[in-house]
Amino acid sequence: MSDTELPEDPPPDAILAGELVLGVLDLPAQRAAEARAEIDPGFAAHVGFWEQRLLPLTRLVPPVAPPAALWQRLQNAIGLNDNSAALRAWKTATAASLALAAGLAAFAFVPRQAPSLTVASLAPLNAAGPGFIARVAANGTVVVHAVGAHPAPTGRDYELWALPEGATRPVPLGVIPVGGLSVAASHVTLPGGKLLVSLEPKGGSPTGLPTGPVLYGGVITRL
Amino acid sequence: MQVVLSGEDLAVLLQRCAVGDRGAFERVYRSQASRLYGLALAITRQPGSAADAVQEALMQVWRNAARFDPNRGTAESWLVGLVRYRALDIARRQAREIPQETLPDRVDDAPDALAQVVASREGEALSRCLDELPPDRRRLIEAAFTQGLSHSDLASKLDQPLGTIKSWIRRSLQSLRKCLTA
Repeated sequence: MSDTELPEDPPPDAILAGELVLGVLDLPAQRAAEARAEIDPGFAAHVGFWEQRLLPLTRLVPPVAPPAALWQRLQNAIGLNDNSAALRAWKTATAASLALAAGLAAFAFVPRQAPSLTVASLAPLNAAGPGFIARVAANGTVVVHAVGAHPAPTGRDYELWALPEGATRPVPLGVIPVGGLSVAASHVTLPGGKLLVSLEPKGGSPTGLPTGPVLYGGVITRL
Repeated sequence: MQVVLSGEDLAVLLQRCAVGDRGAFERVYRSQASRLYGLALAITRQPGSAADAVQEALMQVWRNAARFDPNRGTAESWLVGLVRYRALDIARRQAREIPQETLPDRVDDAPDALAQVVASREGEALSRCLDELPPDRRRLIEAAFTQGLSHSDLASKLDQPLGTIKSWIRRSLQSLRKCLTA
């Protein structure tokens, strides 16, 4: 009997993580495994094991100087072209004191009881900016706007996700158009849960889970 | 000009990126770009795509440097992982859109290349464990990692059924894991 006739059981997590790091998975499987590593600490630990142990194999690949324009492109993409040294120094010093808030500050939320409140999103004062601002209205509608996020690269979209407290799988809330997104989500946006934004193929994730990098996130807080 | 940074320095730079230190970000770029671009190019095989992969990964570094967790791995492995996943993603998407061009020759297994693996800090254990695999399986693992070849790429390249390739890879990973954790 050939191997192809064997029933294909899913591999144990430790081996699936090895396949992810090795780079042999097809696109949907790779994206699903990457997304899982974002939200499943046990699986992420397996991925970390392989990333560390297989790292010496990178020595088989010779370094190649990238195109000279890449650094400029990168600076433009993340808004690093502000050349004011004084402003830069101030931002760096101030940002250090806000570092603890970094993981939570990409979104600001207003309470359901006060949907008309004007809000400010506080984030580390680096050039990446606060990203998005989200408001949960009294009827559970989430309204999200980009406030500092740069437009998604060509052929990609930002997608909004809710991760209810204690959940391990985020719930897709939709692609965020340039003008912002308003979506009914009262069932998944209780305080304590999180909102996340990932970078996805045009039109959103094809798998129902984040497939690209999760770039922004914040905890839903009742103010 | 490549500036060599120790892993510890790189971890410090990432911590500084997390609080918006542009100078630290530029140092990460200057010290790592050639290595990361080389890795991306080996996987995507197209300069434009390799540049896209490095750009996307470094955007993640700037925005998410606070996510780097030194308890789970080194700064180097985190950075390399970000670039490799973006390069693999791009390579897979291209493979779907464009008929796959001729696959590259098998990985260079010249003695000096192997010496490079051993010479790196964590390389001795990996090299010893790879040597415990049958030579063709060791080359399979090395080619998959360095060239980003999928199960299906490897199946057509080696003219083997897909199930056989998956089984070889899984058994090799199981052996490696056992050896590396012994």
